[in-house]
Amino acid sequence: MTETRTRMTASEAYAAVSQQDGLLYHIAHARKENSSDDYDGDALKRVSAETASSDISRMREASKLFRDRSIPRG
Amino acid sequence: MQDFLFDEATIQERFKDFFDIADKFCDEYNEGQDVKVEIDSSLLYLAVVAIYDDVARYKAYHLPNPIKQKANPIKRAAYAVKWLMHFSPLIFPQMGHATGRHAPEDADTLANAMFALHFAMMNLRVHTGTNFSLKQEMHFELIYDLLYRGLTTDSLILLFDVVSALAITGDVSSVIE
Repeated sequence: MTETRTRMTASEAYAAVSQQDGLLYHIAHARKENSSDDYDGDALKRVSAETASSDISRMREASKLFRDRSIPRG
Repeated sequence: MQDFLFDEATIQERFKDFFDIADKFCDEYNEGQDVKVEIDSSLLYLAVVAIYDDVARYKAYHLPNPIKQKANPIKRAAYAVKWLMHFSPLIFPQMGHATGRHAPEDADTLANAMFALHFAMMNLRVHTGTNFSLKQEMHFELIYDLLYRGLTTDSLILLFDVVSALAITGDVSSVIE
């Protein structure tokens, strides 16, 4: 039987990990100042959507080489 | 040091983007598969916070003005590989989180290595403006090293710098002479 996976939105997931009584709350909360980086989340999501399927196919093909190379390269 | 860290609002934004990317990756990974991979939100959150803490630490140490200067996506790519492999946020709950049912490389660790490399390459693609792909041998070498060898974050930054230079110029003279 084919299994289904649990579905959750990004907002639901963040709400779950950021509850004030949770163990993870203290990790990133109550920070006042900030650092920054060169970031474009929309571009990352777009490029991921364009390339994920191809990347997975290529990496699955590459991982088949494990079966032919039981002796690690030296 | 506290002042150089990414703030809560940024972490929240990055987590949500990361979650969306991981969610779509899982959909693609699960296509045609009987056993489904999914995201452990807590492990992904720990990875996201650790990635940006490392980026902030890198900036604090290496940049003359870490408040104003921005880190490029190569640092994010390298630290993402480090922490995605460490926390392994992609899981197979229906397998009872058991790995190695069929082969050592055929389980959680491989799925996380693939996601880590996809996330890294995606950042390099945005950084270079080129939707390049690695060759099969390079994919194998990287996956092998992530599973069985040690790749330091500094070596990943250097490797991703080289790959980015090749992707931008398409010319080995950008790297060797």
